[in-house]
Amino acid sequence: MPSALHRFLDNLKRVPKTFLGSVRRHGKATSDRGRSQAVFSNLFLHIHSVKTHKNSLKPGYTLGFGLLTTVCLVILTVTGILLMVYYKPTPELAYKSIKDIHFVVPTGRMMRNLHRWAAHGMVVLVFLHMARVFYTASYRRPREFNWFAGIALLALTLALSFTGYLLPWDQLAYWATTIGVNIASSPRELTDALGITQLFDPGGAIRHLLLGANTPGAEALIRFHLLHVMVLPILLFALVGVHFWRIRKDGGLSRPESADPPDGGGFFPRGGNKTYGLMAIVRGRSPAVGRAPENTVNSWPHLFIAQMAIFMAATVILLALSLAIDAPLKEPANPAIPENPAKAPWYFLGLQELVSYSGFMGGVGIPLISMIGLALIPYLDRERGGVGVWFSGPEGRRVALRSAVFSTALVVGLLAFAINFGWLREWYPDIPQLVITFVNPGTVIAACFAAWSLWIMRRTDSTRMGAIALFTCFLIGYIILTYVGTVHRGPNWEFYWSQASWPIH
Amino acid sequence: MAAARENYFTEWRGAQREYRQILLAKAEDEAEVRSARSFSVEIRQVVVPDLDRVDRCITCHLGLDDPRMVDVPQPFKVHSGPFLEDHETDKFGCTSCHLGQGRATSQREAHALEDGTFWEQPLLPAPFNQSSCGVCHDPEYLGSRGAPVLAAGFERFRTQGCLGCHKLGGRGGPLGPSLDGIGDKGKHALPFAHVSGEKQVWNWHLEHLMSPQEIVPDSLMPETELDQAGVEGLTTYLLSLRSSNLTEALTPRDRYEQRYQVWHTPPLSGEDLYQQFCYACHEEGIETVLHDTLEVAIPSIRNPDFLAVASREFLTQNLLEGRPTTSMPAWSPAAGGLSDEEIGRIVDYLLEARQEVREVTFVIAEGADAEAGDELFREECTDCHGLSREESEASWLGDPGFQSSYDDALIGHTIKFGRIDTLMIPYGEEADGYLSDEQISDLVAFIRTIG
Repeated sequence: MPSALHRFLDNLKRVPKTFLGSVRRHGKATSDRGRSQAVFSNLFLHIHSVKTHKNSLKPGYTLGFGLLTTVCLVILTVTGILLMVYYKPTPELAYKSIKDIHFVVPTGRMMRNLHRWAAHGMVVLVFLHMARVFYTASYRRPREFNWFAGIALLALTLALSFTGYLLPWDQLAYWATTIGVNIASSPRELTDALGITQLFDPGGAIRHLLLGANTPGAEALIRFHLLHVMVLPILLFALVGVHFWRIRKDGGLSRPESADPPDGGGFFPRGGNKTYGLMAIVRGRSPAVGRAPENTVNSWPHLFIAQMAIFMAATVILLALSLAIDAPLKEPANPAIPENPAKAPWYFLGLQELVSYSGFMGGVGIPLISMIGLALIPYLDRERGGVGVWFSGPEGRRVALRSAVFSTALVVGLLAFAINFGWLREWYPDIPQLVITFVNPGTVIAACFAAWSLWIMRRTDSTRMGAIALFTCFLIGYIILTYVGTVHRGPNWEFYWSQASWPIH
Repeated sequence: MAAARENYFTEWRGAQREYRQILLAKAEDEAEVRSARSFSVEIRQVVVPDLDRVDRCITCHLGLDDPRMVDVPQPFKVHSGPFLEDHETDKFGCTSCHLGQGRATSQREAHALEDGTFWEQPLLPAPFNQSSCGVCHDPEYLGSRGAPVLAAGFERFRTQGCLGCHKLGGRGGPLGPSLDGIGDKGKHALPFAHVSGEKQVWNWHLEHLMSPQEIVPDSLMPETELDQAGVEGLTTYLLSLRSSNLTEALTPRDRYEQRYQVWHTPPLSGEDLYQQFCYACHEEGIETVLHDTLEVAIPSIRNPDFLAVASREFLTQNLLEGRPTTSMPAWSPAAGGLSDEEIGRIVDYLLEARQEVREVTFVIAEGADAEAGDELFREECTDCHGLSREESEASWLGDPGFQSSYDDALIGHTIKFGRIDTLMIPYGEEADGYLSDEQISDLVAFIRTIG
């Protein structure tokens, strides 16, 4: 036996090999088995299952929305951390630090633009992802909890976007936040109408919690900054972890029954409740070469290639956008000169339109009802069929189309009426505010949507169809209201056909 | 690509490379050639924490303090005039005087003149950049020291009578908005709906001074009848009325002197005060002024007939209390901000125009009948002196200021003898009119009941 010194020197020479060997403990991933073992034993790769169902890889099934959202999140995190190196969260310095990032910091302009466009992208994609999951009925058992986690993630995404919006401290940021906080304190409308604000003032409480003062200022900025860079990301990542974990535990992405051969192809046991509770890779030969029990393929390479493709495509698009279009930055925040119109970030403009009818209903009532309604979908629709199929089949497609037409007609019609003729206060100037709170275009639309959905439910004798009707109505309504709030509302929230016809100040 | 864009294709890098060529071309000896060769392409900035300035203008304006850079194109030209001798760039920055967006690194964003640059203080074009001199210096001091337009504007401001309607530093009239900090007002604080030229703040002032009603439709400000030089001067002066973060270390000597001047040196003469505060409405004061925007006839306060019977107490009272229902403000220290002493000087100046003193000999007849006066008033007087404020084109006789400062005899005297060179003709039989003393007494009795 060579001496200890020899052994020591020998080991030293072999360090590169032994070190790499300890990292790639199962050797190079050059065979299917090697790749499977790599996926299984690596912390990050093991977010994915070793095998992926073929149906999940079909582009037309998921359209990649969930993944695209994650891509945006990754880009946001990376660019966000880079921006934090130079951004300073005080009113005196915030705006100037962003100017410096734009003009002087190497690649600063690019990072800031990327951050902004990825943020907008993430909000859009999160809605598209939710729509996809809904329309493929992927919230059914056993995935109800994951749907609920997803709704929470939606709320967190919007909150992150909203808190980030204030940070540049320019006119856009300041006044959008003023609007947002005023919307959040709209419970005052109800407590004032009931005369109980002295005793019970949730509106005021929320306002002070968000602002740390009576108006947006240094306190608000640092609170929003804290929420945006630490508190909300921690919650978001924790929930994203839960969200991915649940995908695995629920058996991967949903799929239609037709995606699996009914008799296991003759080789494998039929049906059964595969629990995914216990997992093992065993040695030995599988009885059927090139065929797996559940119509799956190896994640490495198939899933990973697909993911990389989507990641790269999304990154390229965002990079191109960021090269071409600068993120906006208006004049420094000036509490003495309000923007007119002062608009919330675009994804809240539908809400702002509703708020123009009733602060409480538009700002608190309808959003709360919508969120609760969304969260409850899997618990109210517990039918079994139609999972993994867009619209759950031809009947669902018809219901969706009709709901789309109905909701478009209703929303456009009611809005046109309100814009042209006004609402109750035009004819009854002394009408109590409480009546307006409960009877305004927003509540009327919501009530009509509910009635329509109930009617569909009765006619089709299916909770799923009712759910499709209601969801479609709300989706269309949200889109139209956001469009009106963005394009057709000008100074004093008056209706204009286009920005060209706004009065010059 | 972003890296390429930043490191090769930026505007300022191109400019610096061009400048290096210029340096090489102008080099006359080895030392200059060497320093031209070693000219490095990088962002250059001046940071002045006291004035809260970070100015990157010198990234492109490279020849700023090089006297050779005369025949070169902008942005490389040397700074004009001797200004940099007393205002070194590293002490003051650039934007302290020129405004613009100091942190920017492209011309469009730095000058911030275009739409979509979102900067409240764009680069001031000449001659308006002279307004910055007035932020720190006494404008009068600068007439021959580099800011002639500002000095002319300051002079004009004091003789045009602007303070008659506008307050500055607490002194002036209440009819127009106060001019404190008017130089701070950015585009969004001014109404641009009717501005026909460039939508910039200096142009707003130019057009507004040329023709106030076009820019502010229901403005009370009359046409100023100024020429281009006049409005440019005034605009420059107005733009100088803005806030500054002048520290003690940076305060110029003439500013100190100006400060103490207010306390020590001879105060403004009565005539100067009249020019500043009264002239805008009363003009020379000899004849009635038919004001086009206020739509009233403004009394002639230096009119010989008026002054012949106006006592010092009478004039002082009118100045102190004004005419509450009219545009004549109260000028007392608490209201218009003039000291009692200054009011005294204005009265002295008014009385200088007095040509003779006449005694008021009119006597109100016994049993003067207000009702008869009422009829007479409606026949003779209501053409100009209405019964209500709105109907009066001439002075409204129900105004409390009028009622308290005029005594009955004076009213009667004025009706009887009129006022020369005004529309108040003599009405008394013994003058050129046709009313008897009794009738005039009736009128006086009635006038006392108006208001």
